[in-house]
Amino acid sequence: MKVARSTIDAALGAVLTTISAAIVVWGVVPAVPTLPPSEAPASARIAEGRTPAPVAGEKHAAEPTVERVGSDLDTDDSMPASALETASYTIRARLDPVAHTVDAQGEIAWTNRSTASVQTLFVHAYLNAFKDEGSTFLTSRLRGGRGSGALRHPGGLLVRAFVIRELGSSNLWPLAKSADEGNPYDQTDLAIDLPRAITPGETIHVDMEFEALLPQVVERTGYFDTFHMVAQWFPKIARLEPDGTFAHFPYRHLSEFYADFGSYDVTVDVPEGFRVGAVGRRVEERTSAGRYVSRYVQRNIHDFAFAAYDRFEEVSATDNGIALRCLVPRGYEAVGRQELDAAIFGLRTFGRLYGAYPYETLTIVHPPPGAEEAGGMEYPTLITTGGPWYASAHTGLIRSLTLHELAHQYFYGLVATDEQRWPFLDEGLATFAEVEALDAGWGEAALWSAGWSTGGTDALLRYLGLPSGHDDIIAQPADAFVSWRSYGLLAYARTALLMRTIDRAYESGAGRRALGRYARRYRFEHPGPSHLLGAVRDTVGEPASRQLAIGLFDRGWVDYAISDARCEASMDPPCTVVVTRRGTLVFPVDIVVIADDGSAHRMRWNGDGRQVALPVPGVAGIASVVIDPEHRVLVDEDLANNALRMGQPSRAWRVWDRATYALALAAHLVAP
Amino acid sequence: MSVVRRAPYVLLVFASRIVLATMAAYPVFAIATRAVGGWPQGDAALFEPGSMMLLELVRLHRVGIDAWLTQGLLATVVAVPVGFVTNALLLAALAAPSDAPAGVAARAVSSMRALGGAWAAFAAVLCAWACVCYALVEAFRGSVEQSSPTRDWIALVVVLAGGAVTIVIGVLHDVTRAMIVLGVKHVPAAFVASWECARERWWPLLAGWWARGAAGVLLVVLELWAMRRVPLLSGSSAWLGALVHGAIMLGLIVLRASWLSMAIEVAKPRASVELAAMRTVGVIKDEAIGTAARTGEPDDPSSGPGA
Repeated sequence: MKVARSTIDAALGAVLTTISAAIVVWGVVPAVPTLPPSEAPASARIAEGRTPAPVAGEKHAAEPTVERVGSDLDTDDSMPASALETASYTIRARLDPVAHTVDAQGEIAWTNRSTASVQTLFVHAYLNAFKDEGSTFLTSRLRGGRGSGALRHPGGLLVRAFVIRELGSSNLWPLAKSADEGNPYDQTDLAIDLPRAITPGETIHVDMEFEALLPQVVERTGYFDTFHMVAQWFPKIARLEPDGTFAHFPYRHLSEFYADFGSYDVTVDVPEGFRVGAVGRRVEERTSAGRYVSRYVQRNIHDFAFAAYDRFEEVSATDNGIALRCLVPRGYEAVGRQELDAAIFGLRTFGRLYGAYPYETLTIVHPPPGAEEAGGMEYPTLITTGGPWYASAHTGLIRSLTLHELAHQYFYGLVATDEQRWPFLDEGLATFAEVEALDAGWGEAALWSAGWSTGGTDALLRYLGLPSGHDDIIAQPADAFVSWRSYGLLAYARTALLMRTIDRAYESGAGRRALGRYARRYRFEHPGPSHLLGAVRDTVGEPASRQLAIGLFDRGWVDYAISDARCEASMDPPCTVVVTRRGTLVFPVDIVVIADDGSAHRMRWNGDGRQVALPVPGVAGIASVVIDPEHRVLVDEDLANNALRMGQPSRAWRVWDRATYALALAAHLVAP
Repeated sequence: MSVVRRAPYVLLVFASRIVLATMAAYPVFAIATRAVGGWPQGDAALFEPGSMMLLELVRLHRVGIDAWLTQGLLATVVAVPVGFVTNALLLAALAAPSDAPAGVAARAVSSMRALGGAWAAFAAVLCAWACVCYALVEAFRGSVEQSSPTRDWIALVVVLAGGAVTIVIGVLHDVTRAMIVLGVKHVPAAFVASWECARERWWPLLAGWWARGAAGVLLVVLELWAMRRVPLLSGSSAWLGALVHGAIMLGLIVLRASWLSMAIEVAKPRASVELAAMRTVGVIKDEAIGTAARTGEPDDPSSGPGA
């Protein structure tokens, strides 16, 4: 009898456990949203827009001037097909994964595209940031973010030869001196006085030989175990602005990069058994004498990086003629497929919004654990991601990171802004593009989806972008931010928050359209904030451009509130709503009045004035009033005061119930 | 049957838990009322897709929420003794289904010290076991290359195995409690007796625990499933939710009581032997096993586990 009861208990336990598991798998955890199918017109445009081989007389990008952007830029027809080639690199690199060095030789073909002669050449040797404690990077590190940990193994760039053929056969590298006025010991930003000036339009050819010593992974570059992320690894001529000044700067904790467009032809030589993910199209590969040699060629880009690892697995796909490779550590294949899915969706979405992706390849590198600081980074046609192998599609971790880095193909890659001078132009706009794509693909469940709760991008953007708004200016150089946190919250989140507000507060989708015109007009160029503001002005309107400027340059903020609502039968109309706008930003908003009879009445306030009393025609009694019910002004500081309920406020009984249940449940689990 | 007969004590545990949880949850109710009380949809806005207003509440009332969480830690100082007393009363009531309230209270009070000792001892064992698990995870993971997912699988296996052992420790703790309320009030003796008892009757004990534990998990999972389907915007759903949650909590406590009742039944024979031995050596003079010794009634085998 006892045995029988135990058996029944065990069987019952097994059945109930199975039912619970089935409900969790199929019932509680919602299905992962599926991606919408590709749109044929977009793919056709992508195919047409791909960078062709050089053709005489083709339309090149020019140095940008702020000019009107019109509706012709809503399609790809008037986009430039290629960049004006200024700095092209041909390099042969040999990786020693034991010594963690890259031995290289090569050539730079550089043209003075400015209107002035160049007497001093500025060259970035960014690996020297990790050379010794004298570097600007190591002496001025900030707390938080990558690059803030201890330097475990130094790096550096040893240039053996830097010979400008047109200026003789002398090695000019010994003449290089620090260009960092604040730190003469820094060797990341170097000035080389030339024997003679290089005149406007003149092209020089630099023969170079160098050895890159990779640090243990720090601030995007380096090795971990046999994984090598080889980035910022070669002597690179600083971007020359049209007026003849170089945009040169030392390697700092927060600042990223800025360079001229050109062609890259890089041959990478690694031990056999290593897989390589690199910028550009692989045009050649061979294995001989225990070495794997592959060659990558790409026009219209401004940087080159590669990753090599002997434990990479490859997941690949082709979409609309673009070959996508995802290199992941062994065991990460499922995450790699998530990244590929997100990238394909992103290429379609961004292609439609910001112009067709012009390259034939996209390589995604997922660094292994221990090399996390190499992840979350963008290079032309190559992005690095990150995250654990078990990352679920129910969280937005993988897709949001992939889409963000992919968005940088546009806002940094194709629209090559100065990341040091105006970091919001790449990070902020990439964040905006990322959240637009997340919303388009996954809606309210873009960031998480579990049980009764889903998380959308609006909620997170507000959470991150609002608290920092009064602290500092968004539109400032990277090295002017006092902390990684401030940089992240302002340059990333708050910029996107402002752009979303511009996108919704006026004509819905106008901000996206403005950014699309900006991205097409300034493709393969180097625009600044005035170009973005001009695109917003021409697309959305002057008021929108003005508000964006206040938000970016002057810590603009706003808080809309319903201050009062009254009805007096003796008045005509009997009901009035008092609305308040606090702050320096002005956006038009909707006000919805719900009458006693349940009818809803919508009014529009252009936002002018600080506090106004708005008569409500056709309403005898008010039940409640809401300002901006659709949350179009996403930058609104406080949503709690956006609504007013007449009489007693609604009690949060659901919250009390759920909190009580959760606490009682917790007590049940840990009760003594 | 003993659970049904001891329904007032089950309800006492339920009521004490709900009252404490309701009091502890009040600050968050007040915060939420302030944050979204003006919105036409009320606090339903907090549960809308996208969690916009939920994160808004957290952002705007971070100070209040932090204070509430801190207060919550202090509230456990009150909750633990209350839970301890009600649990002791329930155990005492289940051990002697025919006892009057005064008898139950007397049994609970006389067992309290030993129950506290057992609780402290098992809490220490659990802490030590958690440390062992952590050390095991680190040792195993250290032997695998860092980039390999095997490291995480090892951690998962250790956590699952550790969880299984924790359940066994929990079962042993409950049988020890049963021994104590049955009269074996010397904690080491109660533990040894429960160990012997568990060794002899491990299958009925684990099967009984599993059946009730799985039923409890199913209740919680069903709630999660159902909450996605209950329309939040209707005025009655908040009260419906409270009703459902109350019913689930009551169900969980009934299942727990049923399990304790079973543990007591399984422990009784061994406790009798232990008490007899103690009487023989003079450790105790007059102690009772459940109903029989106190009331003169024979133990009722039919009032077994899960009744």
